[in-house]
Amino acid sequence: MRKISVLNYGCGNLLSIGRSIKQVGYDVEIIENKEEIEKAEFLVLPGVGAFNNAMGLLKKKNLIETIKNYTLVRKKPILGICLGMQLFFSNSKEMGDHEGLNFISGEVVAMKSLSKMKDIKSPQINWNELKVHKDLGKIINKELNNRSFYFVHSYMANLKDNKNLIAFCNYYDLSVPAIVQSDNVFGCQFHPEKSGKNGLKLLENILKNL
Amino acid sequence: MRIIARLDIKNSNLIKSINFEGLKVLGNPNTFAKKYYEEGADELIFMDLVASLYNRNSLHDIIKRASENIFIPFTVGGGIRTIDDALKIFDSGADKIAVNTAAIKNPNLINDLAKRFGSQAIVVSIEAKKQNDMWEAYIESGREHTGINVVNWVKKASDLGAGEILITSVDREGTNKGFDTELLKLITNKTNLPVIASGGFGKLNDIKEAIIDSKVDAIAIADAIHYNKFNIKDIRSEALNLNLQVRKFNQ
Repeated sequence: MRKISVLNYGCGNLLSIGRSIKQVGYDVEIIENKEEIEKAEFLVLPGVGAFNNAMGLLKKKNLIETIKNYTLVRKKPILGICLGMQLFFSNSKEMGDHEGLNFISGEVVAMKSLSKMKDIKSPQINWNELKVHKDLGKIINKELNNRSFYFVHSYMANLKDNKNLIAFCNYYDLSVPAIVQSDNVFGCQFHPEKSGKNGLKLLENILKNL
Repeated sequence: MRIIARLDIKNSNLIKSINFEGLKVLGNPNTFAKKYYEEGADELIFMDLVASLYNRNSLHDIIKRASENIFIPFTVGGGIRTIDDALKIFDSGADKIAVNTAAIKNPNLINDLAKRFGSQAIVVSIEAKKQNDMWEAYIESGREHTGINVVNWVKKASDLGAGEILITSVDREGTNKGFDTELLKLITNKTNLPVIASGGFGKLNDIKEAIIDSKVDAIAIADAIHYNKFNIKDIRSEALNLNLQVRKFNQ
C-alpha cells in the first residue's frame, strides 16, 4: 500500500490531516525537505491562512521547483486541501497579485468581489452540499452528489477552463469550485479531513485511485 | 445553519455553569465530544473557562486526543494571548481559535493572528451583558466588565480581521431561557461575518428565533445536550422542519 507524504511547510492542520489518512488505512509521514518530496509516492499539500504567506514559505524553503518537478515532470499524484488547492492556480488576488504553482489555469479571487450580493457572508463557514459536475468513476461519482462537506474560506478559484471542474457548491449567487483536477493534480476547497464520514470516504477514494 | 456542541472546560473536566458561575463537573470532555461527533454535531467548541485567569490553558491534551477519532472542526478558546499560544493550539489539532480577554486588552492581536493564520481561523468571542441601555463586553468568563459597547466592539473586531463572531449572553448562559434575540440582532446588523449564538438554548423553538429571526449562522449548545435534554438529532430535525440549510448528516 502507498505511503502518503504530508508536506509540513508551516501552514496547515497537520495533526488532523495525518490522523484522517491513518483512519482510512494508509501509512502517513510528515515531510519537510526536497529529498523527501523527491522520494514521495503521494504528496498532500495542506494549507490555511493567506496565499502569499504560504507561497512565501514554500519559496523560503526552496521547495517550489521540487514540487513542480514532482507534479509536472514526474507526474506523481498530489492532493491540495483548501489553501493547498488554491496554490495550484496561476495566481491569486489575495492582498495584491501573487503567482501560484500554476498547475491549473485560473486565478484565486475574493468571493466578495465576484458576488453581486451585498449581504454575502464571507468567509463561508458552512457545511455545504457538493454538486458533482464531472464523474471521475472511482474517485468521485454521482453517489457523492448533494452530500455535505465542511467549507471554510473567503477566496475561491475562478477557473479558466471548465474541464478542470469536478464539483462545486452553491453559495449565495456563486458557484464555488469545490473539487478541481488536472491529470495527477487534485484539489479540494473544503476539508475532507473535517467532513465526518463522507469526508473520510472521499479521502480514501482519492488516496486509493488518484 | 451549523449545530455546534460547546464544551466548557475547567482543569481538564467538562463543566457546566449558570451565568458562568457555580461550576459543576460533568465528566471527561473527550467522552462527550465523541458522542456529539457521532450524533452529528457540525463543529465543537472547547473553551477553557479559567485559562485567562490563571494564565494557562489545559486544552492541548484534550484536543489532541479528540483529533484521534473526531473528524469535524474544533474551535478552541481560553487564555490565548500571543501568536505562540495560538500556534500551540493549532498544532494540537484546532481549526479555529477563539479570543476574548486578550483581544479586548490589545485589539491589534486580532490583526496579528489573522495575518498569521488567516481570518477564517480567528473567532472573536464576545461575552455580553446588558447594563442600563447598553450591551457591555465582559472578559474573564463574564467576571469583569470593560465599559466597551459590544456594538462598537463587533464592528472593530470585524475591521481588524476577525473571521467569525461567537456571541455569548452572560445573563442567559446556562439558564435554558432561550437566546437573547435583542442582542443577536444587534450583532448580525453590525457585521457580515458568520455569527455563532451561545447561551440560553432550552427549547426547539429557540432555533427559529436565532436563525430566522436574528439571522445568526450557527448555534452553540452546551448543557441542553450535556444533560440529554435534547440530542443533536432533535435539533437537526427541527432545523429541517424549518427548511433551514443544514448539513445532511445521514447520507
